[in-house]
Amino acid sequence: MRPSIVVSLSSVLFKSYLRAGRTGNVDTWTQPTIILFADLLALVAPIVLLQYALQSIPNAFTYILAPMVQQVFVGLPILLTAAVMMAGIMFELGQSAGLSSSEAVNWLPISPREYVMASAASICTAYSPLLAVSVGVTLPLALKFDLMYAWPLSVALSILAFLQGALIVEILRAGMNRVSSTVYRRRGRFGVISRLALITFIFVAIQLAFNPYILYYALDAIASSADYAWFVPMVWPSVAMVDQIRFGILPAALFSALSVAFASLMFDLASRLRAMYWSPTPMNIMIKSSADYVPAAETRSKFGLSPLEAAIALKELRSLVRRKDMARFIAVPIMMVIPFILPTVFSSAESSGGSPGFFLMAFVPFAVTLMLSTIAVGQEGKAVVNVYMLPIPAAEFIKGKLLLTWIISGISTVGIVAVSEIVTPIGIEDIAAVMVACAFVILAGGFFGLGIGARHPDFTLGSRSRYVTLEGFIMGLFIGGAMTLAIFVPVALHLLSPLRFGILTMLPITAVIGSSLTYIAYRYCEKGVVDFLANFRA
Amino acid sequence: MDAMRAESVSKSFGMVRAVIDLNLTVGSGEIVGLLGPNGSGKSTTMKVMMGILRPDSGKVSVYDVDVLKRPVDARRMIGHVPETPYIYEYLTAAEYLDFVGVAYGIKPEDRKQRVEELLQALQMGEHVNEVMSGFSQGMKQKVAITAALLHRPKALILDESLNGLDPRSARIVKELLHRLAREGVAILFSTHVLEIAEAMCDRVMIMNEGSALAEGSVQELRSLAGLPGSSLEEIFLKLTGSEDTEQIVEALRL
Repeated sequence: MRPSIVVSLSSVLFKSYLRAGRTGNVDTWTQPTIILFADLLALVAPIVLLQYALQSIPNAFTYILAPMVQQVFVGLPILLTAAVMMAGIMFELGQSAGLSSSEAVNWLPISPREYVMASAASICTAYSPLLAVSVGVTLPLALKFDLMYAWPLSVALSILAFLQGALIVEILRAGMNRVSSTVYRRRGRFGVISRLALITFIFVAIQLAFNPYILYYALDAIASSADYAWFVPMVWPSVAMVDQIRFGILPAALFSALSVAFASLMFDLASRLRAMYWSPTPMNIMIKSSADYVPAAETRSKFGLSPLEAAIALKELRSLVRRKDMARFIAVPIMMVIPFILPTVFSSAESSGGSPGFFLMAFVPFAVTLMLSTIAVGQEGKAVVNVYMLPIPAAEFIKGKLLLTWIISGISTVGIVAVSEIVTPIGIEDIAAVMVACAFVILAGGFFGLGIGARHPDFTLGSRSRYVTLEGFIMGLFIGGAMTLAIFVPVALHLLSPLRFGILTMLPITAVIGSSLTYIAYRYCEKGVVDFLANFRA
Repeated sequence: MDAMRAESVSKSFGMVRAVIDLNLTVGSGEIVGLLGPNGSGKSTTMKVMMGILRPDSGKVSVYDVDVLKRPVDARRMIGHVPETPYIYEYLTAAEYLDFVGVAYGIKPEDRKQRVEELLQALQMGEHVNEVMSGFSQGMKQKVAITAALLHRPKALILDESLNGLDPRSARIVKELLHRLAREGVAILFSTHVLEIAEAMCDRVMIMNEGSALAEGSVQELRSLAGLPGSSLEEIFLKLTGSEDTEQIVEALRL
């Protein structure tokens, strides 16, 4: 292995992480040195804050808190492994499949071991602020709770655990394309669905893994079971920490050495897999087993949709379920709901009251509609040229593009309203009022979001694609949020105000506000789409 | 009758003047070649003719339909193959051609006949139900050509459309274009392969830095350049001021 190649390649890969999806000139924020500032900040800030905060803890409480601090030291290595793994997988899933096969390293004279080491190093560098935070948190804790004898090993094992996570990502990356392509080819539509389900599951798992409630329970479980799970290699750094805290120098050294050996094994495995699946070649994927062309799309209108509107909507659906980089948008509605549901699950129903449920019922239609409608144009990527080439009128483009957004938002909204009604019941009459407001939010929000998407599309496909510019995203968030607020205020005055304004007064006001905003949003959308279709921008 | 007409068209991107006061006509049944170095304004001209780029000034029409005022009506008559075949790669070829067929309002039975004919001719029949992300550049190009011809267009705008095609398919496409021209289809065609332009085009326009340098049949261009008996390549290099290629290669000292 040539260290100069590893360093050089690692720098290139890290720059591609840093600049993914960006165009134009390289500025200070896209230079690798920016990570050093981020690391420094992530290291110093917790040290300063905790040092100050810990001084105010009376000594009597130190004894109570000591076991919890030990839990942090024990759980930290495995949490860092999990964190870097999840972050690496998220990045990989956000990358379009075409990019990985065109990586220049595929045809440069670089050995698999050099590539794996460089790639793992670049992943570690990209997420190094996580490591810096953990070091910054543990140092003042070690000083306060007399754990300085364990702190150096904690830092060393944290770095090792971090590298382990990056190497596991490398193993997954090497295997993912191969497995995915094989399933895809052999199983046709079933393969598409199972891949989508798998990706959605991973995203939801990631959200759960980083939820504070889950993290707390996980940390507790790891610390208490590290002794019993010594045979699981990923837990070895934590086992070493348990022994070190108990002054068991020999077992601590043994499990530290085993951890290093395990990391070496991971490196070797990742290198072998990379050598086997060096250049992922695009697969020819059969959706049907026959080679006959059978026209599927009709040229007659159905369900109030013109054939073209139906064809655009179907294309949108296929984009959502078949593209790896789009799958996260299916997971997002689920991920949005989890942070709201979990506190309700972990606390008693009585203490949660009606407000969180009401907030969720307004938030889900707003967020899901806005997210899907603003990305509707940008997600076309370079293939947007088809929209320009074909005779597609603006009105049909709008309806075709928004149909899927409205259906998904509608289903998500009905789902969340049903869950809220079960957890914190508000009665059928009020639910109906909320549904009317939600319908206006979905309708107006869809038009507004597509208007934003047509004016501010980001056609860059690749890692961390946004499909809408930052300016468009911020505009959508604030104006869309204000629209949702305006539509929901009358219903909120009925449901949450102590004065309990009558529903028969408030609902017509919601209808008037909702209709007006829908009309304004439609005109905004129409103008944006007409301008967009007349000026090729990709 | 002029099937496609651009009158005094100009288009700038910021400070860059991509097309300057361009006049271009393509008659019904005529094949016009658009030649020029990279960045000379060929693709921009084609996009303006398609109505997907709004010119800063000038008029564009296709069969007397004002492209700027009625772009959708104009596109119904045009078939376009872009320089790079950006297709929806997550669709199968059949699904993509279905989508294109619906956009042009082609009935399923016509679509089936047309798709099968074109794909068989281009040796793509076996791949019709495959997701296009696995297709090579040439295969994607064949699907894009099929999509452009699906609705029997009255005008064709082809931007480097033979790129990536195997010799057999390129030959088929060339012969197909000749046949379509004989049937009255107006074809605007850009290429860097000057032999193809010489063999295919009735008329050639040479562009450089956004302007038309010369226009006419290859014979007329020979006279214009004062190079009787020369090839189109020699005429092109002389007109675009890039005839000193030997000196450049010499200077490279490879």
